[in-house]
Amino acid sequence: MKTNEMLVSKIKEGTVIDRIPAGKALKCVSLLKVEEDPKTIITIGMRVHSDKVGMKDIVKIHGRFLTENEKDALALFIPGTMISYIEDYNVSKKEYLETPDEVTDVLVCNNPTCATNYREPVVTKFTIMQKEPILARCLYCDRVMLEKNIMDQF
Amino acid sequence: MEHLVSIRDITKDEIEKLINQALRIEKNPSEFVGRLKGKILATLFYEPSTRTRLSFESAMLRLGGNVLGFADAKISSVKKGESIADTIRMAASYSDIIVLRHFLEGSGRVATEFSDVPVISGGTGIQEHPSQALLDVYTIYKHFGRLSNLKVGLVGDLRYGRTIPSLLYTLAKFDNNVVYLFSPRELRVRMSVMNDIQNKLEVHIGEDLDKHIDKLDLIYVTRVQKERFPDEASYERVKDFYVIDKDTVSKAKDDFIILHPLPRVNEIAYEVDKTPYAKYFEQAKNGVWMRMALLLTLLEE
Repeated sequence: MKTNEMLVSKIKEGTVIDRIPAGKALKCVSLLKVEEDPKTIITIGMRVHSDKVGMKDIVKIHGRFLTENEKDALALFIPGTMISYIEDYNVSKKEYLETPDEVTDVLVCNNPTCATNYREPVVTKFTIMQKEPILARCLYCDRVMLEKNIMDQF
Repeated sequence: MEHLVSIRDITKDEIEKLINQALRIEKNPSEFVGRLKGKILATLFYEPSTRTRLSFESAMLRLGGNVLGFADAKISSVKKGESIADTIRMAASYSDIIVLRHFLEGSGRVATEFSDVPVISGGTGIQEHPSQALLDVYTIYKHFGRLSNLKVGLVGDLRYGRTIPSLLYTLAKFDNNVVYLFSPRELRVRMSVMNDIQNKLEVHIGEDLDKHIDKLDLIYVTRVQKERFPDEASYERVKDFYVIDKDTVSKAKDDFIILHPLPRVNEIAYEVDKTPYAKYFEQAKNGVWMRMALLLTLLEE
């Protein structure tokens, strides 16, 4: 335990994404596009020991909180992830992400003839029809995407 | 009812009201002349159409309204790459109601987001064709006097035929309907549609129409659409999978009927046209009454 705490140090303010399945931290960072922001400091721990889940990844984003869309995206791709909000070195709020019922602006429809794939000024919306395995339905064209198609976008 | 892009957006009650209105119009069309005087219908057809466009235009003209639009996307700004959103915004400012047919699924939903006048889908890709389903059930209602307790066979291309989901959604709103889905394996109803009708319709899936035809109240036949197949060979395999002829209907019930959204190719032999079962031309004619009812409902409520 002690070693881990040293590996990924505390942050003053921001978001901690914890219990990411081992090896998926980089994908998680790219999903949130935080690496594109030149000012955001990101600490990444990969294959860190955890008493609760064995091996895990952890991502700490300094000075930034997640939007609802970002949380939905994380919840969809890596359900079970735990998010902590840090203010003044203390956890102000903790939440376990559960697969949402609907996601907006997270997925791209895999139907090549869906209107949302043609420069229309709309954001994609999907309802999650089933959570295990995930089935998502495009609210524009009604196409159902299978878990594999969804995970390929991650 | 604000728009009509999917049957899933309307209620059984609204469907019944439309049917009653269509019955009143058909019985006494002269009473409705001039009801939409001064109103303009825009028909935006990005895909070929005969019946849908002409019957909507006829409906509007019979109600005293005017019509503008295009029937060939090649001659409009669409060819220059204009989005559905921009085209609809423009059409909404030139008209009071819009009928849109488009080759993309989801185009109807996109249109409703950018239109401040009612949008009716005249068919969106393989997705749905709601006004067709309304005239289909209008025809069924006129013949049987009910939309419940029916045994309906759907025959042909149930996967890519856009009238199929709309008709299934409509039948699913009424009680005790049973549907028999006859198609080649590769043309079965899509998973999303099956999911929508689950627990609302009793569904039987099979290929053998002859074995079940004596139980059915009606069959709804669709064309296998060549343009939906990746290659000639796979189209050839299924194109004449069902050909309804006099022999097919010899075992049918007395008040049995055959519907088809048209156009047909080989799936119904011409010899059937003269039998009392053939209702598809009357069905096409019913399109005008139902579409008049639809225009009135959307513009007057």
